[in-house]
Amino acid sequence: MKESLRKNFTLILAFTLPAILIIGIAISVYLPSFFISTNYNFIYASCGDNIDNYSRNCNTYLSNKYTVENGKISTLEDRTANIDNSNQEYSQTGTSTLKKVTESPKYEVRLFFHDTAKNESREITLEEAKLFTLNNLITSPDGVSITGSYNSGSDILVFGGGRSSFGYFLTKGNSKLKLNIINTNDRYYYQNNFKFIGWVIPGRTNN
Amino acid sequence: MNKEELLQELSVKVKTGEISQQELIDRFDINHRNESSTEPTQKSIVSNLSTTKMLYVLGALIVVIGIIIFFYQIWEDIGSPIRIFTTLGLGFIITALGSILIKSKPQESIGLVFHFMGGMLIPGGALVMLSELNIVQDTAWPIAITFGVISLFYILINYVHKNFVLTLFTIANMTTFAYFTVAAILDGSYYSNDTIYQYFFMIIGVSYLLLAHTFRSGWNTKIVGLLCFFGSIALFGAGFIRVMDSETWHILYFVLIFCGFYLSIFIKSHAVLTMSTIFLIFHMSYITGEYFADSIGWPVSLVVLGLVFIGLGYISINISKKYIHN
Repeated sequence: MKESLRKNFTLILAFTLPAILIIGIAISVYLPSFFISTNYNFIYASCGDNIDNYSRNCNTYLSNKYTVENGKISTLEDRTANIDNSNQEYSQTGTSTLKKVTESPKYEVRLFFHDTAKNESREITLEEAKLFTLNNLITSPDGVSITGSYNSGSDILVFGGGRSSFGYFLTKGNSKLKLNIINTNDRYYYQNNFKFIGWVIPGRTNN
Repeated sequence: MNKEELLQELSVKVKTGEISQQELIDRFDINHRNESSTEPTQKSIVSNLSTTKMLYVLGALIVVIGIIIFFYQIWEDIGSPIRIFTTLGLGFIITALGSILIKSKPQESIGLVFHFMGGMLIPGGALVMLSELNIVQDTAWPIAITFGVISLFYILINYVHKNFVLTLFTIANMTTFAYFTVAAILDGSYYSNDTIYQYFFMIIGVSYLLLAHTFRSGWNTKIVGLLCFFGSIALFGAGFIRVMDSETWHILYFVLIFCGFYLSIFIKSHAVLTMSTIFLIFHMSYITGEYFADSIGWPVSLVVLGLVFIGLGYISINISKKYIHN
C-alpha cells in the first residue's frame, strides 16, 4: 500500500490539488451561510406574472403602494381614500405635499410572508399583513440585513453565456445566505421585482 | 516457467486486455530496436504508418466537422429526441464502435479514430441534452454533474483499454467538470470571481505538469508533450494575469518562472522551457513598462529589453542543448 502510494504520488497529487482547491472554495462559500440566522421573519411584496415591458418600474410602484406607518402596513389606497376616489393615486413627498401620479392597472401585486428559519415564503392577503406589527428598517433588530445582488450567471470562461439573475440575501458582516423568495420573473429587466416591507416583530424567541 | 509458457501467459494477458500492446512496445522499446535492426524496410513501414495515422486523424476531423455542419443545417427542422440522438447518441455509438475495433483489431489505430470522434461528440451532445430537456437553469450544477458523469465514463473505458486518446478525453472532461464545479459553487460570473479562477487555472496547470511527470513511462507517453504545453500555459498564463492584479506577484512571478526553468530540466520538457522563456519575456516587458519606462524612457528601455530577450533566448537554447537534449 505504502509502496503503491509512493509510486503514484505525483498522480495522486495531480488529482488532489484541484480537489483541495474546490473543497476550499466550497468551504469559503458555504460555511459563512451556516453562521447567519435571524429570529425575525419579514414581509415583502412582488409584482405578479402579468407584468408588462415597463416592469422595471415595479419597485417604484411597490414603494408608492406600500409603506409602514406606526408599525402597520399601509397601502396607497388607505392613505388617499379620504382625498380622491377616482382612478388616481397620490404619493406623499416630504411631510405635507401630495404629488399626483396616475395609477395604471399594470401590476398585479402579491404579498408574501418569509419564514427565515425555514427560508421559505408563503403568500398572504393584505388583511393578514395588516395583523403583523412591522419594523421597516432594512436591518433586523438582531443585526441581519437584506441585500440584493446581481449575478450574471456562470460564464463559459471569459466568453459569458451565463444566465443572469438577481438574488436577495440575508447578510451580516461577511456571512451571506441566499433567500428563497418568490418573484418569478426576477431576472435582468425584472430585477426590481421585490419590495421589502418590514421585519415582523416581535421575533420568534420573544413569542 | 519456461520461455513458451511465459509467452503464452503474456499472450493471454494481452488478449484479456490486462496488458496493452502499447505497454509492451513501450516497456521493451520494441519499435526502437526494430528500427535500428532493419532500418531501411522499417523506416518505410513507419513512414507509411504515420501517413495512415495522419489520414485517420484528418478523416476523423472531417467526419466530425461534417456531422456538425449537417446537423446545424437541419437543426431547426428536427425535434428534441433526434437532436439528442444525433449528438449524444451518435457519440456513444461511435465510442462503442471504437471499443469494439480496439478489441478486434488491437494492432490498428482505427479504433482510436472512432474514440476520437466519439470523444468530440459526447460533451457537446450532453450539453444539447441538457438544453433540450431544459435542465440548464440559473446554476452550473447540471453541467458540472454531466461532465462528472462523462469523466467517470472515460475513466472506466480508459481502465479497460488503457489508451492515450482516452486518457486525453478523461483529462479534458475532468478539467471541464472541475471548472463548472467551481462555477456552480461560486454561482457568479468569471469576472466577479476572476482571482479565484486565476488560482484555479494555476492549480490545473500544476496538475497537468504532475500528470506529464507521471506519464513519462507507460502507455501515456504520447501526451506528455501536450500536457506540458497546456500545463505551462495554464500555470504561467494565469500567473501572469495575477501579476497585473497584484504587486506581490511582480516578485512571486519571477520565482514561478525560475521554478519553470528548473522543472523543464527536471522533466526534460521543451514545452515548459519555451513557455517559461516566453512568459519571462512578457513579465520583463511588463515590469519595464511599469517601473522603468517613465524614469529611463521607452527608447533606452527597449534597447535594454532587446538585449534581455537575446540573453534569455541564448540561455534557453543552452539549457535545451545541455540538459534537455541529453
